[in-house]
Amino acid sequence: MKATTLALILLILCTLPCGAQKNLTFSPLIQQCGMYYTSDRITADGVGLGLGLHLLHRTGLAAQADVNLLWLNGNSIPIRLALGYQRSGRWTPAAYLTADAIVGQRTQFLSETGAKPPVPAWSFGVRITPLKFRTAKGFLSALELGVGIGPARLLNLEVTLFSAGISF
Amino acid sequence: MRTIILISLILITFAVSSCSKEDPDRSGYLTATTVAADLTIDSLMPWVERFTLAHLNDTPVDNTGFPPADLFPSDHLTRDAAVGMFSTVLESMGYEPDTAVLSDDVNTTYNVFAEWPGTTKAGEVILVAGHIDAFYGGSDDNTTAIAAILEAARAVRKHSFARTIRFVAFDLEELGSIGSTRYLEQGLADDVKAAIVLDLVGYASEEPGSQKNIKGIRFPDVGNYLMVCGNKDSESLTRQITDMSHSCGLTKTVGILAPGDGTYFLSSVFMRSDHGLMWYKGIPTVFFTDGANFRNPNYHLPSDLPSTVNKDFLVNNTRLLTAAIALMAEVQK
Repeated sequence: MKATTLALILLILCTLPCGAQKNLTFSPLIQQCGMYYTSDRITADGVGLGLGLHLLHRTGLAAQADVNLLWLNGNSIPIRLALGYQRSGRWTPAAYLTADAIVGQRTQFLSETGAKPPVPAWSFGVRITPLKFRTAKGFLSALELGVGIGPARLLNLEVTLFSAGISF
Repeated sequence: MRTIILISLILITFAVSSCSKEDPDRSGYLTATTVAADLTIDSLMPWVERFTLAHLNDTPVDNTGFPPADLFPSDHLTRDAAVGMFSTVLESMGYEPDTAVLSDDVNTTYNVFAEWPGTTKAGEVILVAGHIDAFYGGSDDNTTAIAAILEAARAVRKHSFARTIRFVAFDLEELGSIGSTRYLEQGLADDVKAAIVLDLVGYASEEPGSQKNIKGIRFPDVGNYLMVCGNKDSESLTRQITDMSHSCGLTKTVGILAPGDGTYFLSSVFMRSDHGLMWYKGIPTVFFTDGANFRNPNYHLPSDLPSTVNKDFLVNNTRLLTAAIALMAEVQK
């Protein structure tokens, strides 16, 4: 039943009118985001909401910047930049190289001299958006997955359950 | 493209500007460590053994309403003999201990406390506390803390301090920090300027993997260090104590700051003792622990016995405790 429903949703998304591709498309977006960011110095994780801007060039080059507010382990604020390539058409999966800066609250391990870890904390990685669809008015995307690494044995796992943008 | 460049520049500017660090105030370290030099370290393990024996021979408290469960053997919780012994030992050191007897319909708590009065800031209290109730023998949990508090109490009497130092043995922590909650709710901690709470400070291991991660928070995996935990209200104290321990060679510590006031879901694990309500109430409180069940395999088991306590670790942690008390209470030269 669930598979049928999902297939139906995907079919509807694929048949929506997607409009003509402009030279450069601006899409303010809203998303639901979850993150688990842990290193030897910092753990910042939680789930929450984010706002951002997605840019798409006619050639398929895509960029996105977003700011998110997460809860569960303090109020963590990941600021994410992504640059990548997006397929054209209605089904528009994309892959990005990402740079994340995490500010806000987190669990911190002090150095031996009592110094706090630097702010922001960084990670660099990749993100894929396999279920992204372009419509005449914007885009819808589900289950975006990201992974990043960084200093102090950092591992950053991200999942965006849902993202939607309006195109200009 | 210009938008992306602009956002990148903002991020880089923010990163550079936020990397400036302020070092902890180190002016009082050397004087504070002189107090730790007066510890009678040979008494620590005998205290652990005596209190453990007292717990093992005591009658369990009435656990009505607190059914036993895994890691919660409420039918083996004792405190009466230990409460009496704590008070007697303080008396023998020259203190005048008192007991805050606080009851409700279910049970009565006996929080024993004694003070070493301050000189110029006597109205400001530094509270040093650990819980006195224990499951089974409770050698690490929490007799190590009680022994450390007693020896610190002995050492500080050889010095004078600007602030008053209050030593407290809280009752019925194991049933949900009942003793400390009542103590605070009665307003008995309204004069507390800052606090140190200890819960299990004597178990260490050099085995890789001996320290487990907690709720996804990654800890150094060799459990040979004391966790010094703080929140936003005790951040400067936590940083100072961590730094002093390292720079003065007192004990191996890992300083940890919980986000905000420490009450968030994933970091609330750092509130698992009598300091929990102090964090809620905004009292700057530092928590000392060896990691409890995330390190000590004897946690809440009959095997929590003196033979499992690491004497050197306990001695070094007591040195840090004593120096930290001296620093916070402003020892006078």
